[in-house]
Amino acid sequence: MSTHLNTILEHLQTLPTLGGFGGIIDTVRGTYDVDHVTYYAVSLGIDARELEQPDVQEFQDIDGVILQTGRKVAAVSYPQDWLRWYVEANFHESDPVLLGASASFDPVDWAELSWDSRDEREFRSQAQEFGVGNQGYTVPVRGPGGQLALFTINKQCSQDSWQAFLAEHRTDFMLLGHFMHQRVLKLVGVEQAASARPLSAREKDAMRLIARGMSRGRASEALGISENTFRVYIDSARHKLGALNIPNAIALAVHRGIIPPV
Amino acid sequence: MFTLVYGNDLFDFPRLANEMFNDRRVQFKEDLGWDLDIDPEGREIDHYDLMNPLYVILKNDHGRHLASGRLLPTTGPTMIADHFSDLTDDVAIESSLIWEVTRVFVAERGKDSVRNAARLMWGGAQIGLRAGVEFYVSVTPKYMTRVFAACGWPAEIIGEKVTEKDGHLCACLWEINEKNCDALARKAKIDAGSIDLRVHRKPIRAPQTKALNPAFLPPVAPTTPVASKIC
Repeated sequence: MSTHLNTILEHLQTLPTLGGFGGIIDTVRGTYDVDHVTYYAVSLGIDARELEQPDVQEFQDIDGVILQTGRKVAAVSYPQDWLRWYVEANFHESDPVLLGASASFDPVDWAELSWDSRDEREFRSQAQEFGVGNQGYTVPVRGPGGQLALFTINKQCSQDSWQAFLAEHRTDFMLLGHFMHQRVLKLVGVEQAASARPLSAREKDAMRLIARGMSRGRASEALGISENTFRVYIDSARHKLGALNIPNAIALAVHRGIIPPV
Repeated sequence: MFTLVYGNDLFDFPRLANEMFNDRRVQFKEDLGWDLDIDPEGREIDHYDLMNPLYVILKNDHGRHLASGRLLPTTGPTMIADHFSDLTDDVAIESSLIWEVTRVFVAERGKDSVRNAARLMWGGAQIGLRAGVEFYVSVTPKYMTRVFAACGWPAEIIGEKVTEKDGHLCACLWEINEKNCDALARKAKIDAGSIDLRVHRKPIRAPQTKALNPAFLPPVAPTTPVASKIC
């Protein structure tokens, strides 16, 4: 588990309200040394309450905003001028990133999108004029009741260094996108979290062994399964508990009385 | 060589989609005898096809269907968690880092079938790697595990059972990493850098969820399964 994720997890765990979410965006930005980070819940699902008045808060330290309206939440570090122009110019109707990622579950590397039409090229060049980096990576997160959130990393760099950067961090970004979405659901009071399924006996066994400090190799031997099967079971347990990493999952399982404290 | 397309966009490739669903009927319904619904056009389409899966489709030089598989994230409904958790110690597998592959089809054609299977698996492995996903899981007929092994990416068997209805089934697991992709590329005899693996992405259109309704796919006259006429 990367140290980057631990840094962000520590920050996320102390987050009391959605108002502090801008700080998380900034932590992610600093941790991975990227230009911009956005979390945008296109829909919080049918269970989210509708807000009539949008609740807009500006980040304290950086040029970003948190917006909550209807069933949408956004926390965006892009320059505020760009956000205002994006809304005014109705770019949500033609933004290739938004449209492409909204129809997918695999992450979208912006470089692989079609930038062929005049409108698409114009959109990209305007974004860059406002300070949006040339490279981007957007992870779609889907959930029950039509939930859809997009987590984006944006950076100004060459194609080669971007590919190397992605190769190193893409698993982190997949985890982060899903985890941030879970936190936002909790903070806005939506009950439909990642999984409704309880842990099976086997997942509890696996968690217990890991909690005791046993290595994956020894624990899988003890359970009579392959190490990769063990990893899959542990990761399923992590996901069901709504945790970002295994230590976090163990702590949550103990706290909820699912496994005994060591 | 590849078409990577979401279910909601399949009607941009009506001929290829029809060939895939027809080949699935031949393999899973007729050859394996699985109890599957077939639509009036002879296509095997189940309710996971309506959940906007990502299809990895391998085509021959003439653009005809050679091999395919269907990807779904395990954070949503999957076959392995919904119907086969008895094969995985009652663990409902679900994680943002694990995807499911189902309905793996490879046209049978002597030596080429292994190469085609390796090409398909290489494409799937690359997509998983690119997404940051760590594992694929699948429930497949037992004989497919020999095909996977011949391709250089053997599946780990999590569990297996022999059923009267569906025959010998295995819950399979693959770890996705660079090493496995390289092994597949060698078996597939492909120059990995030269192959376009971009997903066909189009703006959302309404009504999105109706896209796979057979009414949206133009019907085709029943044909001999493509598997038997590839040359």
